[in-house]
Amino acid sequence: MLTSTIKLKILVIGESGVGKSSLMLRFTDDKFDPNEQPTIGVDFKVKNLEIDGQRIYLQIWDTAGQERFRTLIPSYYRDATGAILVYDVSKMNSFQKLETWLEELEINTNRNITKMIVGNKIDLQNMRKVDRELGKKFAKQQRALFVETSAANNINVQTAFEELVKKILEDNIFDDQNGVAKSDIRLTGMSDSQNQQPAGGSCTGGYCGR
Amino acid sequence: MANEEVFDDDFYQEDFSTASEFEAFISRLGDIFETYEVVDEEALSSNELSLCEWTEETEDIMFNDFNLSVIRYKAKIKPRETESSKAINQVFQDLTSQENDYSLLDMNYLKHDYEVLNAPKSPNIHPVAVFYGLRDFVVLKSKRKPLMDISQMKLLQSSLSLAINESKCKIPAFIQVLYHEQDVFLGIYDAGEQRLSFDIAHLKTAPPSCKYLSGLLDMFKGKIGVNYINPVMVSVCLTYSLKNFLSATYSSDKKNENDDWDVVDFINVISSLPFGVSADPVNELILYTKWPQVSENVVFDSQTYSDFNPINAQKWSIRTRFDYSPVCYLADMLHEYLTLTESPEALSEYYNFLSSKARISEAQNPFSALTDSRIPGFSGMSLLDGSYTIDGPLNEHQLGKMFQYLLPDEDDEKKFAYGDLKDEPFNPQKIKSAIPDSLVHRLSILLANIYTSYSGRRGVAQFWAEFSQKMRERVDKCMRIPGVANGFPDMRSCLLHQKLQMLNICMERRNIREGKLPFAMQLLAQQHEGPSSLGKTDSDDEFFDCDDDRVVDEEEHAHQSPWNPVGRISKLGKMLLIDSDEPLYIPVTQDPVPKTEDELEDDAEMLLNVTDSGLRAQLMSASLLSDMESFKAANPIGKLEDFIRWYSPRDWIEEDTDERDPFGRKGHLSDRMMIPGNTWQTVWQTAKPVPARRQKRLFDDTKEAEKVLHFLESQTLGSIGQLTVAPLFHTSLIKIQKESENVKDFIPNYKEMEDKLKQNCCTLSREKWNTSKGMSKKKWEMVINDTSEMELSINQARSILKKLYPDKTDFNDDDKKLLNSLMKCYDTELGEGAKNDIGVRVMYMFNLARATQNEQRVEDHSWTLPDPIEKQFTLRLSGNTVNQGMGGPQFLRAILSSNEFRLCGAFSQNTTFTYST
Ligand SMILES: Nc1nc2c(ncn2[C@@H]2O[C@H](COP(=O)(O)OP(=O)(O)O)[C@@H](O)[C@H]2O)c(=O)[nH]1
Ligand SMILES: [Mg+2]
Repeated sequence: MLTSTIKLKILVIGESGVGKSSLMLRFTDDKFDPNEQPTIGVDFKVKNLEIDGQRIYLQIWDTAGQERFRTLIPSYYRDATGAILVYDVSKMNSFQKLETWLEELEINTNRNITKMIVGNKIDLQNMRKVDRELGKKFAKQQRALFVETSAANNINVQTAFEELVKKILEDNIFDDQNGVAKSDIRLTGMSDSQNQQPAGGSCTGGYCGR
Repeated sequence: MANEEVFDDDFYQEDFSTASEFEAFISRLGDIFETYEVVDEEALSSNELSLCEWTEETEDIMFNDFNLSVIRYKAKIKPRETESSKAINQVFQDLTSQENDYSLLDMNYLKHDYEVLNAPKSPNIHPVAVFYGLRDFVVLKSKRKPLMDISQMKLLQSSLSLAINESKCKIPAFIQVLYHEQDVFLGIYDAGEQRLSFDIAHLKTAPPSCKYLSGLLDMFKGKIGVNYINPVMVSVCLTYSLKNFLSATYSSDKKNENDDWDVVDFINVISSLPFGVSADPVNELILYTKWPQVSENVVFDSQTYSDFNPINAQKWSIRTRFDYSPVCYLADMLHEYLTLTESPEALSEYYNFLSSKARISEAQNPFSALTDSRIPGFSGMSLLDGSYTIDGPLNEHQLGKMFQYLLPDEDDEKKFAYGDLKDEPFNPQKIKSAIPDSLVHRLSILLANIYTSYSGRRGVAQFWAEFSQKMRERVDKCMRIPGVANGFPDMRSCLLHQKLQMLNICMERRNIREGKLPFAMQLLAQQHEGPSSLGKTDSDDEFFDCDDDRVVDEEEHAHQSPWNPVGRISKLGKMLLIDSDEPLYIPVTQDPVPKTEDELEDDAEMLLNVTDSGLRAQLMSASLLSDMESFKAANPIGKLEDFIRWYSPRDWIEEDTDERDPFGRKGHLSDRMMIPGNTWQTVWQTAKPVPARRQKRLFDDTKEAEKVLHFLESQTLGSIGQLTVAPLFHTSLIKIQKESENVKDFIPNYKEMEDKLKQNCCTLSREKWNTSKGMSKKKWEMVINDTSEMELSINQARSILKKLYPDKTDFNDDDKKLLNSLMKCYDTELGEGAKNDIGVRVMYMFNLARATQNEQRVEDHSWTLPDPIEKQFTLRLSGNTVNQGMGGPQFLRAILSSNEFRLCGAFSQNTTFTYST
């Protein structure tokens, strides 16, 4: 448990209109505003939360799904520790497009970021086009977490974000000083102590000038 | 003193109930022994004890004023795959097994090699295991002062004996006596009817009677005193050492040194990374000639005659000894280059004309390109009039050569033209650097050579200054920078590469702005060839870019009337505009704005500082406004609905009636778009019909190019190092892969080493450079260990090849097995002994070495070996005795070397072996 606050950057991506901004608003302000204007480019919201006694500062980046904005957005992917990929369970096409979003994510992020796939708008029961099982299977393939939500009826939204944060905490090592993730992966073949305190002491455990 | 009293009190308190200190000791020792569990295991395979891991369990105990450690050593034997019969008595089995004989011949070597070999866990095999081949035993050892006094030894020995008796200890127990480095042990093992006693004698020189088998046999039999039916089985090994390899000595090409400066080969030296070792990494070859098991009555060995002629030995085996001290050139260079990263000097400290420009692009609002189109005039800068001089240690000729390599298109010969820069397919393990053999890679190699082999910091400063001026000249002349990937700055490549990509984009945009052909087309025009993938840029299909503020005449007219459409690309399918029969046109829009990762970081930072989300939307809406204006220009009577149908089709809800309009006109905006006063609507209202080419430029190529040039010029020497570390390690990895091609099959764990190196480079290349406490530098230094290990292994393998296979280039499986084993420093058997090809080669080398020493030529006949450096005789007896039934095992091993003589006995009778010190 770190005494300092951990800072996390999370992306919310997916086709336009699937409910990315609504999910975020539900999570940060616990409200649903059907009159939220469509996102232009990128925007973000912040939220402080505590998980298992650990204080966390979440910076959630919301993105527009329109083709035209796409060239601009990937730039904001950098340094993200987690990504939520949203589709609309009543729009098959929005689910099929996830593959493209994942690709874009792989290309533009540096680290192996923790992913979660979210099927939104499950309140629209009789309009459902994407089976729960289908979404689940896809998420498994992509080694991503999976959850179905409704931003309108507040189903699973809180859980979704919290689960993702928990998984991020598992996947990363954090620096006690400033609460940012230390490095993507530990250096293979090096002991933990070397990784944790490469700066400590006189012995670098490294190259000895042969 | 007070402390000691307390200690004594504790000690006595604990043992108050027992009669005396002596009894307490025995009882405590017995307790320890009772905790030892013993599971019978299968017979050991050859060499197993030296290759397996060992566990140690330590307890502390006091004996008189000796602080003793009771340490149990146990080999971790891997369970056998196939069930084999287990021993009746494991100790007897180990002692009588000749498989155990020569695995540990040269314990000292093993100890040494394992330390440096990075074996999974240093086996630190105990001498008792070496001498007797035991897998499980316990040793009592004084922690500090050695046990020298005979009566003390006797007392301890009898206590031990009692404890063993009481606890029914199932493993042999030893006491270490005399100086620790002498490795002398006395031991007892109680197997019910049989009682084994172990004893060791250690002398500087062997008594004459012990030098030959005949004398040893006499002594052995005399010691036993009982007659066995079987003859004594003898196992013999003679060891030879070769250190002088003459022409088979391995050496690497000499590392680049200062005096190479003006050789013809300069360009080849400066454009490649060094690789090799400063001395032969194989410094000894050891030959073992063995007679694993012969009966005492078929061989004879005395001072006057011996049957043990090594040429006729039943088995030959060899092993290598490595020298780990040679400098590895590549690793050494990397190590040195990392010191550059800490250098704080700015380039301008060497070349102050560079600092005058540093003020140009001061911290700018990262969104200025979006919000403000005014370009600071750079025309006043006369940087390119050749008025500057860049003096330094590199002369014109040298610089010329280097730039021939770095910017081959400026050279008439184009000898070093960049190949087709194809990126590998998506690979998560990618090092954040640049494409192999691209400009950034070449630049890193040059800098590393300049810094480490030629002229240090001054040279780096001079070369970088020269490089940044070349970049400036090229931008000025609009000459594409070669060896850089096409397209937008690629976040998967390093920052330096992104910056150069940015320069190319800026020049490309300027070209188009000025009505010239884009680079790809220029290239085609030059080549008169069909389409080539070489110069294809991502923006090829988008080069109808905006013009600058000069307006083309006919457009001026067109623009006069707001109803004349301008800047159309094509119709959008069959779409018609709402409330009209006009087609909906896709407008020509401004190209997206390319950014390098540092700029993106600034943008995000800046966005984070804007707390009002409306303001953020406004900041973001510059490109929306531009697109809306383009749309209006192309579709003068278009509405927001039409724009949305093209731009964000999901926000256009088509009416789901039976008679759907085939032209997509029936429907309405999504609820969220209809909210009054939302940014989309307000921006739409302010948008004027202006075609992209007349709009404010979203991307100011002149300014952006200047920013990059300034970036290059304002580096410190340290940051130049930091920018090039990842590419340099990447090129090193490629170098190692190339150098290893012929030998990697023999190198143990080669694949693992390579993967580890790759992965660590990949991880570190993606981390931001952290100067605090030299954090990043230290991490990279750890990676050098991997590099150095691989470089050394490759050279070890080459050295072995040179010695044993001087003319061979392809190797069969047997060869590979042999080489692999030698690479691990294992004792490696040669089939057919002296007749084996390798055996013949080894013989030849021994004879060549001797002949050379005596200034003779090698004779074809009469090859002999020099005197052995060590002789080992192992004598064993077991089975039935002549008249006392089944006898226990009897064992004697004599190890004779030039400066040491050791006898290790294990006798199945309660006799005491005499020894002296
Ligand atoms: N029924 C329903 N509608 C939703 C839900 N989430 C969002 N919406 C609506 O879907 C539309 C698009 O939502 P928005 O959050 O702007 O999507 P974004 O483009 O992905 O950010 C809006 O009209 C929302 O009111 C949901 O869970 N259920
Ligand atoms: Mg949105």
